Amino acid sequence: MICLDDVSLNAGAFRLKGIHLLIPTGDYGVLMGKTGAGKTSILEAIIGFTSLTAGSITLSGRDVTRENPALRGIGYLPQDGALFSTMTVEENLAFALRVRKVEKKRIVARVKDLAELMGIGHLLSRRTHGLSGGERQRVALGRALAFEPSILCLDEPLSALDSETREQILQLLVTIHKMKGVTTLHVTHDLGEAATLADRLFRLVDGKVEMLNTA
Amino acid sequence: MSEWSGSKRGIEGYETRASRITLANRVFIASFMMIGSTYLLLIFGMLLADVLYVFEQSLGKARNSSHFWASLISDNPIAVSLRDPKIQYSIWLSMISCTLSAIGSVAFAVPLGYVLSRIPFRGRNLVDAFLDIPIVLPPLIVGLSLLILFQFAPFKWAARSIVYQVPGVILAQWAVSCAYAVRTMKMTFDQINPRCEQVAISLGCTRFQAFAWVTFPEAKLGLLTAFTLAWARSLGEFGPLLIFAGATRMKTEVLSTSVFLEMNVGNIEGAVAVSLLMIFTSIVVLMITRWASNQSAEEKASVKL
Amino acid sequence: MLGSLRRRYGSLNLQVVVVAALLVSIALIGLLIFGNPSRKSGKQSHRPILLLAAAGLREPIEEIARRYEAEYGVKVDIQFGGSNSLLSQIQVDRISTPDLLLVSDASYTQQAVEKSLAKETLSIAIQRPCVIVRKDATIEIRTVDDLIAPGRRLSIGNPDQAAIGKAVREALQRIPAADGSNQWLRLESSVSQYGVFKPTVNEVANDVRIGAVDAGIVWNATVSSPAYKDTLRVIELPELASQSEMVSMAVLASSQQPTEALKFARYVSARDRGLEVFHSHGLEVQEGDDWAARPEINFFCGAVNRRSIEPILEKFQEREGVIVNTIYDGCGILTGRMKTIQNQDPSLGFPDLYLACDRYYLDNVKDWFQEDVDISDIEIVMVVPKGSTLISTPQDLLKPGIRVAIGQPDQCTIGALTKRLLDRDGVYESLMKKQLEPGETVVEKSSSALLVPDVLTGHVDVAIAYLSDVMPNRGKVDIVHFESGDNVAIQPLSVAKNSRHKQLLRRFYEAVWREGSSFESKGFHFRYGNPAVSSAVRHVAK
Repeated sequence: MICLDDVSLNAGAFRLKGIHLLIPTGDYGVLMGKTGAGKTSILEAIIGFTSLTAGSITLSGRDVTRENPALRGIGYLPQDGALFSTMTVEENLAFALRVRKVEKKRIVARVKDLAELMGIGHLLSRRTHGLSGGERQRVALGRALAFEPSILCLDEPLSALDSETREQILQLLVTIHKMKGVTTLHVTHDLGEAATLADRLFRLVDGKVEMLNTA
Repeated sequence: MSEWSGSKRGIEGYETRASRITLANRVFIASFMMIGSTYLLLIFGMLLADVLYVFEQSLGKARNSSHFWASLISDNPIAVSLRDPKIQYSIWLSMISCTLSAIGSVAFAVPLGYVLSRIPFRGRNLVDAFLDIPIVLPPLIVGLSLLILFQFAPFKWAARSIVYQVPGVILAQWAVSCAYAVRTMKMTFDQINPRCEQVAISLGCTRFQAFAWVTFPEAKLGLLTAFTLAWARSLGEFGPLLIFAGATRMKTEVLSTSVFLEMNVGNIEGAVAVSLLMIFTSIVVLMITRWASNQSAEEKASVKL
Repeated sequence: MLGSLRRRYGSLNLQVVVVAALLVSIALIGLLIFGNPSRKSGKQSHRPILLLAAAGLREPIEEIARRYEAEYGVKVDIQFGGSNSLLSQIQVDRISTPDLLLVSDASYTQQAVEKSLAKETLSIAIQRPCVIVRKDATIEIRTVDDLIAPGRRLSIGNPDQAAIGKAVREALQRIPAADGSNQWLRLESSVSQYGVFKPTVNEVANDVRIGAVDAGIVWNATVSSPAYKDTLRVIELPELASQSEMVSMAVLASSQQPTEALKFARYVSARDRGLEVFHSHGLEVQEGDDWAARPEINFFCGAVNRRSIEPILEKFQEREGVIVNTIYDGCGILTGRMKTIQNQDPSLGFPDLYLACDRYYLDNVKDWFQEDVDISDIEIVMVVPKGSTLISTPQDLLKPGIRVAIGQPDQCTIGALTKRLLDRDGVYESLMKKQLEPGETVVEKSSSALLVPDVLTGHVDVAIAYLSDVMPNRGKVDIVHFESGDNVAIQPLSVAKNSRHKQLLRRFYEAVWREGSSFESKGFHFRYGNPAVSSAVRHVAK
């Protein structure tokens, strides 16, 4: 689960105070808000790249407020995808496993399964350079899920896609969530996405998070 | 025709407007090219003057000798310089010391550039400005400061094997070229998306792993640029070398000081010949690194099957 | 294939680059140290060095040779004999090729040099003659007359064979005897009658030890040998003790490996090597150089001297097997650099040797140097383009439109001397005023070598430079002489007081002394050939 308790943070231009957010384990949370309101900062705080000035963050029952981001076990999909451009798709997907020193055979098998799930099995030996927007998001998602994280954080994953691709990826997210049931925090400014995906809906307005009742 | 198709000149037809714009565009490009080419002409002129000077001297000697073509090939100032064991030594030392200096520059520039780019700390701006000093200081002052530095302990103890010796050459070259390399690496790291590192960390990396596996590979092109820059800077370094390492022939003499030494004995054509050698060497090195960077840029863009 | 290589590359990037950089660096450093094209070492000749040595010096020199062999693996074969005998041997023997001569009297090495049998000489230590008797002897000898008392059996060195003999002869020849002759003649006849002349000093000492004679005359150092120390007693006679003689080594012209020979000679005369051994054997050692297998000397040389001194330097470095770090520059810059070096310490870059462009630039650092000798002088002239008639007197420099190039007075000697030359009649002041006027060109250079090129390229109408700067381009320019005096620069060579290699430097002085033609051909007037000057140095070189 994801729990933000009375969190305050300063991140560049953003000052947020007294944020409360709770997403129970297995739920899909969507955080909405106008662009530039500070949604990314909240995500960054959860992942561990921005430090809090007050409050605490608990993930899956563990207080991670001061914990190293490498240990939090969060799958992160940043706003611009941020694929590793010097590696192939296969290496991108395998990255988290290589870090954990999983043996080669298992990595190869896992990457194969992952790629099939994401629908990019045919792209494995490609460099990330010439991929389309949709393909990039699939790779990024696969990379984030490779090590079976308990939390998933997505920063506006569909915003830069054309409407047809957006539909595809949206369906992919639904499918994955049904299959894996990973606690997710999805940040967006689009109501449509929220409607489809959210178990819990939040809105960031004037530096405060309010929970909305889902439909 | 809508009310917006006119201009100061009154309502003009489509054709007129099209040709006017085309002409204006041509004039614009042409004038920019002319301004730029003035500078290019200066560089070209200087090189050409050097070449012509040497050529003139060679012709003069060749005419006076009995075998014209043989003399032209073997008695021209460049050939004479190349035969001179002092110049041969100077070339040998230059190649080695510039390479060592460039490797050393990059070795220090990568960590320093990374820290300056990624790691916030108090006084970061101050350090940044500080690193401009070797670039801004007149070269002679760098040399003099080094000399004075080595009067003090603990440097004093190493002075005997460094001052006026070969390691002094490498040190003086490194002292200046490193600053250029740091600038380049910092810029390189600045341009690399920090998000990638963040993703890597969130996937479980230590900062070092994130640097080694994600950031560093992306910085390769910048690394090459920094190396080339440092190499070229080391080759051209003169002031600090003269003061700190001396210009002892067959010992601490490198190409840049060779030019000076030849001039000092009044051997102008020897000086110009060595200058041409230096220019040639620089062009070769620059071309090699251009080619190498093109290769890797191509590789990035290619589609692997 | 390349693709999979690249893929593997991707993850090992940092390691690969770091390792590659390290390997390349190590290779380059190795190349730097061992592949140096200027180093001709590797031609280590392991041929033994042949040394002819005075028998009286047997013990110290054998020990020094042992140490040298242990340190450098080079064997030194020594042949012993009386000093004069060895000299005669060298003169006569045309076949063998000894490398070095070591004698107990410097006049022998001097003779060798004069007869072109030897090249360099090195002074080592001093010995003095003294009388010896057996420790248990009861005879009293207090004066020379006691020595020559009738019936006295004496053993002394043969003056035509051993240095000790010659020394005694010289000492006693000076002392008149009661019968109108001198003490030597008396001694000689006494010894002929009752005593014996021996060819080496060792044999004299042996004679006394075994009791074959009553007394003998040997070197004071001879007695400190363990063989004699316990059995002999020394009697000092002032007439003899005042006749000190210098142990001297010479590099022979017949040597096939002069550089190796010189290296050993330096070892023998080095303060912390050979001289220590001689000292422990009772000799009074001279001031020696610090030992280094390949000594390095810092030489500051005014730019004007470059062409004349360079060939001498090259030959010297090659023959002696030393490295001379030469810095050529304007004297103002050189003296400025000297002033920045703490304690005038040669290891921090202070020069061991300094050849200035003019005495002017020695005077202001005089306290740090010694033994300065005027090597040469060079005329200062006005240089104009060929065929130009614009300049005939210094006043012509002030004519409007005439472009002038001179040296900068604080940076180089030519500048300082030009200023002195033109200060007469206020020409220099007016020239400086002219410099400030718009459209006029009066350019100051930091070194004399930069002056003539400006005339050659047509950038100035006249330059004031040294005659030697003009020589390489003699056909392309004309020279106008100064009528007044003071138009000559005098170049002094001097040694730093703090140098640790003074003996080596004195040999450099000798090398310069021999090479007058190198200077004359470059337009200098060679002064060092002047006997008055050269003998001053030879005395100093002792």
